Amino acid sequence: MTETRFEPNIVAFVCNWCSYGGADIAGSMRLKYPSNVKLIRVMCSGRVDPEFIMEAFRNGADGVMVLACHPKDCHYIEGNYKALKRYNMLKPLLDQFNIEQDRLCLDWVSASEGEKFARVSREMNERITKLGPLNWEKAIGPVRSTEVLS
Amino acid sequence: MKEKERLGFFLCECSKNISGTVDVHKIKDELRKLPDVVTAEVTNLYCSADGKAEIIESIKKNKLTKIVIGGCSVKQHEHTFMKVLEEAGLNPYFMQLVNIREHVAWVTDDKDKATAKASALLKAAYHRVQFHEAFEKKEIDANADVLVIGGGLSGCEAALNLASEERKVYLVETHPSLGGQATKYESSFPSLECCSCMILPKLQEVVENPHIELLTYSDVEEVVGFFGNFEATINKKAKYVVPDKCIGCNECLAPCPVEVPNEYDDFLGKRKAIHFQVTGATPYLPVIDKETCLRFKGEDCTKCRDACLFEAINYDDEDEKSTISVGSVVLATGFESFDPALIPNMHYTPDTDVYTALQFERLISNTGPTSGKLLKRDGTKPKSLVMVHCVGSRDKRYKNYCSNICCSVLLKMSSQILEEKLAEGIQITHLYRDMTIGSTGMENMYEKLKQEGVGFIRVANPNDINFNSQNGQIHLTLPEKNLTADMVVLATAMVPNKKAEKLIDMLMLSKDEEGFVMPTHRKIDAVSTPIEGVIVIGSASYPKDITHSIIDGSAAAGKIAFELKPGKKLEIETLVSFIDEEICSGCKTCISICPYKAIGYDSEKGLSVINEILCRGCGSCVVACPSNAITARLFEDNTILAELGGLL
Amino acid sequence: MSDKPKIAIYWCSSCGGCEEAVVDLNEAILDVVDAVDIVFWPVAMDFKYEDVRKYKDGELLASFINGGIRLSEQEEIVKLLRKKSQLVFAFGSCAVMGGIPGLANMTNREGIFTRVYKEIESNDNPENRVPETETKLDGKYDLELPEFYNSVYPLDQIIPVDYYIPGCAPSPETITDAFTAILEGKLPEKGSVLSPAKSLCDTCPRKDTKPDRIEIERFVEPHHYDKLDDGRCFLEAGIICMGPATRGGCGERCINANMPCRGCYGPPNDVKDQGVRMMSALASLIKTDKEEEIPKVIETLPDLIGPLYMYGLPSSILFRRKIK
Repeated sequence: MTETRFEPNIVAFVCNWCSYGGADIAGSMRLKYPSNVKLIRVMCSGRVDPEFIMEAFRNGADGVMVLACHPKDCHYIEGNYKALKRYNMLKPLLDQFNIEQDRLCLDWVSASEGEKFARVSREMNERITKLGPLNWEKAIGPVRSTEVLS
Repeated sequence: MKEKERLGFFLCECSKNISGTVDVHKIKDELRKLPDVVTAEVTNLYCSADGKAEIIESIKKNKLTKIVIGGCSVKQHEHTFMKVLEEAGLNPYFMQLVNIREHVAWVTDDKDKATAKASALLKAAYHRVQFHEAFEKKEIDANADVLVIGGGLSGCEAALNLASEERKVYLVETHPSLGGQATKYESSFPSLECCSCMILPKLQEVVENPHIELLTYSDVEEVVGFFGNFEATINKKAKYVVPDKCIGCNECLAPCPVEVPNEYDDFLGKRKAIHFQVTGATPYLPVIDKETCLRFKGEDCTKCRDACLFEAINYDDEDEKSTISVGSVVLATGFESFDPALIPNMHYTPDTDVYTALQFERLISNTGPTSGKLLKRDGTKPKSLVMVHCVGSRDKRYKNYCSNICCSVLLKMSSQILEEKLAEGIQITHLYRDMTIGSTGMENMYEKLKQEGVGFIRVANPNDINFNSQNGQIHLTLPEKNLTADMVVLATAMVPNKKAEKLIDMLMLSKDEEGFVMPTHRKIDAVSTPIEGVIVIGSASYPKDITHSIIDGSAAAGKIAFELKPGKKLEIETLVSFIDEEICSGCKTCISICPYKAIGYDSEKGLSVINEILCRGCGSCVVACPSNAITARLFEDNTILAELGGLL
Repeated sequence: MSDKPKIAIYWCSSCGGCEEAVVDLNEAILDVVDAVDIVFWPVAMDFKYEDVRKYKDGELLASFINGGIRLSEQEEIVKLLRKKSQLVFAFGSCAVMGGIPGLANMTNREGIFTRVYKEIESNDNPENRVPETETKLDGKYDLELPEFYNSVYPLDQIIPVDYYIPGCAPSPETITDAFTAILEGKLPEKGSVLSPAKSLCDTCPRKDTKPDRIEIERFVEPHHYDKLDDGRCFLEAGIICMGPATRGGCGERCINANMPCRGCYGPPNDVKDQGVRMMSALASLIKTDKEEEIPKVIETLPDLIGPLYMYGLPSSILFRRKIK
């Protein structure tokens, strides 16, 4: 009997100037990484709201990545530092909710780092596969209101 | 009520680059079934002329309201398809380009998985695009005039390259004359060219340029506003000398009873209360220094006016404040010398034969306190001279950077002394750490000096040298070798002009750890700053030599000429953020966040307000706002959440 | 039977403070009693559930329900009241967003029962009995207890709610304004919160002292700070004041008592999850940019859910802690 293998659902927020470009380069180099990682483009990692990350976990994501410009390289000067601060505060908060800290990852990927993009995606996929599905709806039991996303 | 959407999907095969892995036809059939989707099409190459025409035709035929394109990277063709939308009569923002090539087809082996991923991304875009709103380009009126703060070489160059009939330049200089620190140098490296001969023509051009309003002996007190619309308040200090009447005869100087140390000679020599900044100053006009003149201490001294045959002295002169409107501000406030008194083991005091490099320039200058004769304080000729490099530089205890020019300056001075025979038979010794002389011709000068018997001793850290003055000589103790000299020159670090600090804060510029103004990017955008319309040039942003200071001035002019065209409106970024007044409580969280200082506080209304001209649309403030009062166009919360929901 | 409109006041998982808040209207309560008939108010009047069941659907003008929902009995009665009322008002933080009882969403029934009925040192429960929904006493009496849910729910996750009256407890002004609006027929659109939409900073007495730039170097708890009464904005000193993410209308009673806001009036209009908004604001204001230093600043705040979700955990995006 074959067991259906757990395929994580991973959302990666990428910024227009750096990590989106890094993902493009990974493509040009035909580097392979798991299709579980799906990208949402924002102009700056500083736009990534912890609310988005919570909604992602709430609605089926098993892992979330925020991929930003390297320190000092942000197109908008310091958006990546904002992202870093929020990420650092969100992690222990998620931990208090018993969402494993490894489910949220922030890393620096420049517009030329195709290899790093593919590697980070692969590694995240492995980590989440080991952790298993988050299945937040099931974990929190029945809730009686209408869903929060449109 | 909002009209129903009519959505269209256009999936590009990209000549098999996509369709080879992603089953676009299967996805097309799936997407067609989604609510409000009127058409889902596939073609070989949507970026081709035919492909683009297909989209336009489909939009018109199907009366589409918004479209989603499955294709290549946003960085490649977002603009292409935005133009297509415009041609088809739709707002260019009514589309979403989904990357299913670089981000799916090219990076996924398994075709089923690739198709599933592409489908998920396209569904996400389907949800997102419905939230897109029509955004139009915006323009505002702008003033093309420019304010240049600082009349040194970089400031003058900027002014000369910008001033024209259609663009007035205001050049404000705190000292009575132009030229900055460069007026102190007798010669310049590498050719020992006479510095004043080199720069005076340029400075004279500034004085004579009808489109430059020159405000010397003046200070900028306030700058408010933003790119295209700055307002600056300038205080023109009273000179007490009438420019139109003074012919520069110097007769007023001798009778003046007041003698004070001359700050333009770095306090080596003396000057009168009425004084020229330096011999050969441009403009050639003396001023009366209010701080030292006897009249301002209550005495009715009229000696200078009595000596003047041209009625050029006016004791009733007053400070004059004026407000000017400009579109751009150039900060060219330059540098000053690090104070060697901060190095305890050097025991530096300003009255010995240990000089800073800037002071020494005056000592060997024809216009200096000794008319260029190299003499000790006691009037005798020095037989030995030690030149110490890196004083206060490259040292975490003091300034942790190299000031670029000092090694070249010390070599230049040595050359000048030998060439002009300022002190026959003098033994010059350099104590250096590294010989950092990257500019043209300096290597030759170095070799020549070595051949001429100038000593070069390499030391680990010149800042560790112990100085001890005894019997008219200076004893230097250091691990490598102990020396005794009649005279010592310290090449001190170049540090930012302290008097400019208030201005820098007023302009909301950022400084790096060493206090220099930070440009937008040290490598690729080194004169712009994050404050739109404010340009920083010369040594205000990093120690530079004359060559690069002047280049900076040209660069500033180029930037401003390109961005601020006389008579043309300024186009501002469309995708910027805005604050809803109904929601904002004035908590000010966002104000701290913005690196462009685009958010200000309106104390009357008690609200924060975003200046759309300065906003770059990064969205950091949107996330920080605890009331959700800020919206980022095209990247609104609802829009991104819709995309997220569609993805999961 | 009078012609006055009928209202009901009911309490679920609550502390009784909201009932007291009604009494806090002082003389004004006489106006209320003049204008309406209170036909159901367990804490103050002797009406039974049966009496409520006898009313026609929609016969009651309004029900004011406070407390969070965590018992099957509470669910049953609020559903009954919804049926019988034209308007339902979620009254007080617990009904609006879960309230302090909502912090029980950090645990579950098993966790609570184990602690309360088994572990507590002063218990005398040798058989380790826990409440059961059905018990036979002495072999002949059938006793029933409501089911104890794993989670606490705000009222609108159990029944549709027409209006929200926020606060722990709502201030007399908030209550009076709400009652006046009802009696004068001047209620805003359904789903509204009956308190000003903007966050507390708008009316805070310390607003003028708030600098344009706030830079947090470390978080400080109020009891570790000795200048609470200097009248300056709390955030400037690193004290967490939920004011920026909390709707106004409370009269700044806590601020005027030199204590930072704890967020009991819930988030401003456009915010759903109060805690994550405040967290974003606080994180954004951290001064240091250094990767190694940022976690150290956050470590000065060992408990995040406490201050950020004190009243709003059940109405947050994640709703509750996952039990491993």
